[in-house]
Amino acid sequence: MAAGHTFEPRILGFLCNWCCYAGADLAGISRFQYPPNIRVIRVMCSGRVDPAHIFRAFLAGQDAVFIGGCHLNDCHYVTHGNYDALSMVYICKKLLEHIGLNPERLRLEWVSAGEGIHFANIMNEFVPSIEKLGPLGKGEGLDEHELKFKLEAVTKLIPYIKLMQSERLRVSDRTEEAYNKFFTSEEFDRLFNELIGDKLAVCQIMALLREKPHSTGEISEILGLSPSEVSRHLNVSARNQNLKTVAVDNDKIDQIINKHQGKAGSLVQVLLEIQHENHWLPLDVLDRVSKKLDVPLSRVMQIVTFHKTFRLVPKGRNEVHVCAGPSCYVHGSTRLLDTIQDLIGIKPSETDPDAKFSLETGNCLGCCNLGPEIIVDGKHHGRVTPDKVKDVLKNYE
Amino acid sequence: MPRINSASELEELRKGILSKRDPDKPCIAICAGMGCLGLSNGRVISAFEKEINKKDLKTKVDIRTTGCHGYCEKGPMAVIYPEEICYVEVTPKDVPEIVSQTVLGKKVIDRLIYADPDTGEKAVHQAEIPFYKNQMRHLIGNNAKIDPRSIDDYLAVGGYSALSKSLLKMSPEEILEEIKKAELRGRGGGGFPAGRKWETARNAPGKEKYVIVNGHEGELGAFMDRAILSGNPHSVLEGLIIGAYAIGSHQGFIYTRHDTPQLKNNIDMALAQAEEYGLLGENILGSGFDFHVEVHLDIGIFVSGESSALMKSIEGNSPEPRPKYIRTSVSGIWGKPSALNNVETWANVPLIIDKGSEWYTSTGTERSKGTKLVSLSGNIVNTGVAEVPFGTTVREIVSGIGGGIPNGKKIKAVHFGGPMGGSIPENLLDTPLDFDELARLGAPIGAGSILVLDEDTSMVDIIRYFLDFLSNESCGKCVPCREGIRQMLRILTNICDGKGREGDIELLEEISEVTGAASLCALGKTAADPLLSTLRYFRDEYEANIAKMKRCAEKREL
Amino acid sequence: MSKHKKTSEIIIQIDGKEVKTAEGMTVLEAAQSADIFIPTLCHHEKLEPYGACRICTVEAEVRGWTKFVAACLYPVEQDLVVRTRSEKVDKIRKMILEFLLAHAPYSPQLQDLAQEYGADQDSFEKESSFCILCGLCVRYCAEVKKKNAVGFVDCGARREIRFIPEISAKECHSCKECFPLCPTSFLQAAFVLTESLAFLRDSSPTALKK
Repeated sequence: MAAGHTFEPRILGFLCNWCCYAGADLAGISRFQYPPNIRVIRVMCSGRVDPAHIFRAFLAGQDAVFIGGCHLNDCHYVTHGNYDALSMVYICKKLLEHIGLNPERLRLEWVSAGEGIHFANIMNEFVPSIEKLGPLGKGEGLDEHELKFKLEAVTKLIPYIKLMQSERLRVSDRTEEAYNKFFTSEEFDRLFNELIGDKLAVCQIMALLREKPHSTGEISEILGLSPSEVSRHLNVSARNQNLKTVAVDNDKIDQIINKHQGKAGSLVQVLLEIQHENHWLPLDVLDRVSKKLDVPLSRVMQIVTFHKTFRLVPKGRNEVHVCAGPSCYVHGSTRLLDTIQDLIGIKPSETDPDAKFSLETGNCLGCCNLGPEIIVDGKHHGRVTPDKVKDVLKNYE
Repeated sequence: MPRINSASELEELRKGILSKRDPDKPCIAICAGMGCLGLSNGRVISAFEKEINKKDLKTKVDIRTTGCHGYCEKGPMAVIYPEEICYVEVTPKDVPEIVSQTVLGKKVIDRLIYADPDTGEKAVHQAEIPFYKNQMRHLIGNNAKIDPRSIDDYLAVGGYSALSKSLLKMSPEEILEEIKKAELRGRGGGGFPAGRKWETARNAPGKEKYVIVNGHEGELGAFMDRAILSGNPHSVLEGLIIGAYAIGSHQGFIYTRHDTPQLKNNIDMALAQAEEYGLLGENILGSGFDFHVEVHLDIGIFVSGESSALMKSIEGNSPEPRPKYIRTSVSGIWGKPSALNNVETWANVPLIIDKGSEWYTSTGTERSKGTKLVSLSGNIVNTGVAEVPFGTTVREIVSGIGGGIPNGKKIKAVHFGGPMGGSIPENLLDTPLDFDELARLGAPIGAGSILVLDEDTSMVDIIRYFLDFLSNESCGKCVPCREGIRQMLRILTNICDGKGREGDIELLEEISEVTGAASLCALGKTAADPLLSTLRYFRDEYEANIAKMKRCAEKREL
Repeated sequence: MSKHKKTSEIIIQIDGKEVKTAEGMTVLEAAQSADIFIPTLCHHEKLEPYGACRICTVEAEVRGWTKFVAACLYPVEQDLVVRTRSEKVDKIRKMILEFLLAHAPYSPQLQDLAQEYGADQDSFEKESSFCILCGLCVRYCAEVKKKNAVGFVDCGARREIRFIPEISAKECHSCKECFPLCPTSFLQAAFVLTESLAFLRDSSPTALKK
């Protein structure tokens, strides 16, 4: 019934001058048929292709990107650029996965100058597979706006990602086996998530907030992250001053600053008092304190990030504090913490999306006769067992 | 309040206070220490206040909220004077009965007094309770008689007489001699002779010197410093002023925790009241000696209890320690000589001056004189703060005062010194409490926290817990501590999860060697001490945990 | 020329060699003056000694008492006997290098030292961050340039360097004097990250909806 267009994939190809481009040429001369969906850009070496090119291609509306190079160990340059292409593609595939796009849209193949038919066969397989996947974004259920915004987030991070690749995700042994082993290992997954995955999430959150204010619940839904992860990323962003947060009552803040004015060493006491008044420290309050006490902002940031005492994002209405002292530990505080985490759905230092609860584990308050205990809004609940916790927490709004 | 300008005026004031107090007047002394407050969230105190108001007894009965009585396990605790009847585990519901039966009716309510869990024997008075009977409560004994918010209460028990004697009858050198003769050793964990530290500070070049009370008490499981500082702040203040006079310092600092508002309020109030009486500030007691005190709060991190980190925090920086190649008593806050001592150390000073070093050295062992406050917690029947003379055996403390292990379990180990200390096994419990004896066994006394562990405890897991704590609390400046703790924690977590490997124990020992020798400060240097002490006495547990995995692998192959 | 010895002159022994030093010198300065090599990572002549990397750890013996100290900070004293190499010193340096190689195996300074002390870069599991927290960048910006554009955040194993976006947006492009000091290239990575995430921030606050 659909009289509409059938989907014709648009594919951009980066073919290396010495091997793949010649191979593609040979395919043409030999009249090996393949779908005409690929647009070719000739590069001198597959190693020249940059993540920026790939993501720019996607942003420009290409549904897939193909990279063709010389066979491994046959690179025409002593630098063996095709190995660089290999590691770059592994990383880019992971990036695509992270933003919800199918990594099959990026393909790397080795085609020598004499392998015309091999090139045609690849195209005959690749183009239909992209047809099946559907248009970029739409095929994965992302709308145009979401797709653009995610691709832009990745693009912003590319200079950082490239440095990570060359410094931390490097394989010292230039063999196909070693590369494949590393990039499919758990170690790579872990390093990628810690180095790049988290930063990517933060970058997307920043982009969302730049458009307009969002609540943590909204961010969580849009980006497909758990509220716990969103809370964690917001904490990190605030610590890195990416999240500009606004003060509430400047007069009160000024009063506190003026009380300690000029006194050397009053920085810590000022920050503690403001935190006590305001319950958290917005970034421009830190700016103000830095200027008024004539202390470099980097020193202020070092103190406020030194320990979790200082909150740089708003807290929930109720603060749940699980004692982490040794006596409480011996009486089972870990199980208690696990129960609370499951009940509220957040980890320590995080706030739930409704801003009802903030969770913290903390220093021994010396009430060792009460172990294990939790303190909610300053009120002690001692000798709490996991099954009693629900009753304790349900009394709080 | 009248300003006191001489020793005789002080005694006049004291007499006046005592004369206005009727020893036969009923008084309800309710413990407002952290443990009791935590149990009741203040409801017992407000119940008493309400009941007294209701029965129109405000002028006939005194209510005194006191500092920590020490027996946290049996809180909330209330002592009814003048009979000194001690009620334990008081709830708001018991309050009307207490007021009518005991306060007015002078009758003992049987169900509310202490009963020995093994023999059933009852004890009406606090001193008869086994927990208290076996202690020597020179420092904390006054807590039950003092409302920390009332300087008059402290004066009524003889407070500030040591200050008067020091400033008006002794010279700084004489005080220094007395402290040295008393062999007062630091109670914060270092055990360093306080007299020597004071002397170094006194002799260091420069006119500006500082004295500091380390009220940080970051050691896990230690809560006795807070019991003294919050419950009897004047005793610490008095010691501080005497020390300042001996050293030649005119500025003092009290550094304590930000997370306990009651603590800060009590200290602030004590300072204000002392100043009003002329016991602090300009021309103290008319002696011509000026001394001021500033209160500073911490940011919550364990490392800020380390003396050089603490001083940096007072300067307004993040609490990063520095290597103490140049002693802080020579160059401390802003490069000036600074004598830092623990709360308990300062609290001992008025005692030494009042009763003399000869009396003081009659208690204790050869190289550890006086008493020590210990905080009992973990798998023990009686948690709380106790004070014992040095030389008391660990077994006496755990059984005689601690009441032994609950649920009929056997004791496995006793851990001293928190994350920087060590454990001793059951067969070493007859060791006397002594700085050097315990250090020799690899379990230095630290600040005095005693964590009792029963037979169900995994020592490997406890060490993992301590290292996890330290990994969060390390400042991260130097490589051996930051990286060493990270790696040791990783290995221990694997062992706990059954993923230990051959060679893990040896690797842990190697890393400990490096962190112990090359770290910048005591945190890094002693981070591996709990691990090493458990390897010394419980090595088989580690080996078994590693072997478990090996055995599993072998079974699978079969 | 005075026949008297300068009152502040102190004679110490380093590796069996007598070295004339002055009061207030550190062991590292004394060794350098006598052409004796002690490895360093976080030390820089233009900056105050920091004592964080601990690779300059040496054995210091005075009055029969031996201890391990950081040469860059330990002040010289009379009768001091210093040993810059020994079994334990080498063990300490080897392990410190292995700790750091788990972070930054490709750093040229670390690789040179690793060869000397036989440190194996695969001794410990790979860590994601390749900053070795030597603090050269932070201290240089604070002490020499006095701009404080980059500082430390967090503590313990989570400690990191971070640029202050407002300051680095203004100052860093025309400066970057700290970049060649970095033993790894983490400084550069931190800078581009700040650039990506924060510089492009427009003047309107990225506010959280409560």
